[in-house]
Amino acid sequence: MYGLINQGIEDLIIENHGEEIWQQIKTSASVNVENFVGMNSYPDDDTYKLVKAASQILNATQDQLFEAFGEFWILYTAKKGYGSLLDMVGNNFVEFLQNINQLHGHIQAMMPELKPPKFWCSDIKNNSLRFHYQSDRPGLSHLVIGLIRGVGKKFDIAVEIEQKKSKTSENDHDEFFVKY
Amino acid sequence: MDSKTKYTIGLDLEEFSTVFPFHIIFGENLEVYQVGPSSREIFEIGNGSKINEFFHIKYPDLPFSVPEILNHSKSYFILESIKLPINLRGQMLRLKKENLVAFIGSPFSSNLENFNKSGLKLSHFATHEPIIDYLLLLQTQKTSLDDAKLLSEKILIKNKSLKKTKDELEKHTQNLEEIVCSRTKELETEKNKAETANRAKSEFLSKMSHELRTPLSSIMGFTQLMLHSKKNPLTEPQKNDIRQILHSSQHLLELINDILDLSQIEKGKLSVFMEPVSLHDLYTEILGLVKPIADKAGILLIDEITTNNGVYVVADRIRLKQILLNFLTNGIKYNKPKGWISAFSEILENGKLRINIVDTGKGIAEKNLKNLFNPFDRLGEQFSSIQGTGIGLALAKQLITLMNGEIGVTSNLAEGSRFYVDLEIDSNATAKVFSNTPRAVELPKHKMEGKKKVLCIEDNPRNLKLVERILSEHENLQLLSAPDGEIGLDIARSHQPELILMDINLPGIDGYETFQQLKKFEETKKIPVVAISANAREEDIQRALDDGFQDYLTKPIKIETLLNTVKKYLEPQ
Repeated sequence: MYGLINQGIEDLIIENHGEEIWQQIKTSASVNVENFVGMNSYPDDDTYKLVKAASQILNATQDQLFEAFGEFWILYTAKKGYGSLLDMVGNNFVEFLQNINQLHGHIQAMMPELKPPKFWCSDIKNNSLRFHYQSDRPGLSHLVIGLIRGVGKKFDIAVEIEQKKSKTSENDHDEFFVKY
Repeated sequence: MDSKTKYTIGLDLEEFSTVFPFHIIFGENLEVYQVGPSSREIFEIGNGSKINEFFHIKYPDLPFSVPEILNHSKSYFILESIKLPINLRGQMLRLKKENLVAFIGSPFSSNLENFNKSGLKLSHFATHEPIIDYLLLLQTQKTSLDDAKLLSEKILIKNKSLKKTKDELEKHTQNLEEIVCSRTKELETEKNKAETANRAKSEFLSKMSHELRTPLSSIMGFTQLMLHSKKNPLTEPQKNDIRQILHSSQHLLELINDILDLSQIEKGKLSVFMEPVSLHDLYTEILGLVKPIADKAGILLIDEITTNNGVYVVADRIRLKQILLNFLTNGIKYNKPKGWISAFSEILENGKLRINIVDTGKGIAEKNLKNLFNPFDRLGEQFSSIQGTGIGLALAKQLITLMNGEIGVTSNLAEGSRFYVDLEIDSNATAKVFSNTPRAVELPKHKMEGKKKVLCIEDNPRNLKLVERILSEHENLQLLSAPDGEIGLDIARSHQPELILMDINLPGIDGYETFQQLKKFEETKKIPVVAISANAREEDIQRALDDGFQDYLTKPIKIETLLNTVKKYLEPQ
């Protein structure tokens, strides 16, 4: 994953628990990176190890942490200067969710090693839709839940998310029912 | 193949609008005929409106007129929005058939903010449009730059912190060095003080011992005289009393000698004379001294040393004898009634010979073993009836160290103790008996005829009196005396005695100097001179013999030794 993701996790931990806890998490995770660089690519394992160590130290489940991080992500990328770009993604909640893939397309032009997930919407109705997520990376469905909640926050919309399908040998992707 | 006809993309209006969502087609009078969906939505341009009401031509520098535009049809065009903070960049294309001009382009800004202010979304752009990527690239680079700045700041902070730590460390090191330096100086001062005090103590002990020896010499000398006097023989009870005095004096002398030795070692002035020593001979001699004491105390001596003849160790013979005597007398003193002492030797793995003295005494507690070789530490026995000063073992340890040997003890309470010394074996030594007899000199052989003159140069009147009394037993001797070296020299030259007995520590010129003077004069140079001194150290004796003295007698003077020596030089065989 790109360093931007790990920077986001770092920022979330420090903002909520302080620098000392972050250093403890890094030490516990045996991740010997002094400072993550946003445009550098790091092993996916580093990210998983950090979240695992954080869950042990903060006494929270990894799912809870991924969800918190997903929600924080929109806020964090805006803070890192990508706010205007995010603003261009869509005029509203649904449009934004629909255009995330397009955004990833542009980002991939910048970050050749990026392996972005695929997102698409279906059954779009006035107050609900089905959101589909497909990725090679395991265990990140709660990050997507957090992400949807974060997009809702961006547009001041309260959302209810229910995971309808999980990626299994039969399903090639996760599916969420989103009510707004 | 004619590529112009076959591969021209024939697009319908919807497709054209998807590919060029910001296109604007206008006529000669600048009236707008067709607008792409994005331009319509963002700039709110409608068909029939005038294009110059929405844009200025920013580049090239032209008025908004079709002929001018067509004259620069190959130019890059920037249309500046009048209402919004964005420009459209693109090119002008003449549509010959319709006699219209088409602007094909898209919004451009170096700042995404301006896009947002203008209400532009990703969906307004054609998919092939690179501007979003370009802006994303800019943002990414900006973010990377921010990361780099952050890193740089962190490094700067870290460097400052490191520098601070380094400075503190240097300061601490300097402080530490100063502390160490100051402490070293203090310690050195303390050490010097301690050494000075120790030297003073040794000096004091040495002087005291020496001073004690002199009157003791007199006591012992006169006591012996009384005991052996033929002129005024004593009654048997008196002799017994005198023997008691002599015995106590001898004990006192041994103690003084021990203290003197210890102080000499501490002053670094005691040296040992290493030679091959026959263990058989040495122990036989020791047994002769110790057996009567052991018998008297009812202690059995088991000897397994003299059974091995021909074993030689490298040691100072006299000092080794002193050490083993100390072990044995301790073994007797601290033994249980009807106990025994066993002596045996063994060869160790390191090639050294271990001499063991094992007793059946009450043993020594383990906590006391480490203090056993400390001087004056009697391990609580100072309150017992057993005589001792606690010097013997301390002295033994120092002496054995000087002999490059080792000393040790193992003990079990109520079972007894084993004292041992480890010494180098001299495997090359022969069975010859090494004698400490001072070298003899060639003397003129003549029989004692008439009175022989003996000059005694001695400043201490009591010692002089003692010598006088000893020699008075022989009627054919005439004793001359002198209180110092200069007078002694005069008497020697004028009387030319057959023998000179000379004290070393004389007022004015000392015994050595007097001796040198004697050797300068023809009339005195052949007279044998025997040194008499309280200095009993090996090196003192050696020095005197090296200087040419014929013999060396130590105080307290033993009558028999003095008489034999006198006889030796005046009545040679």
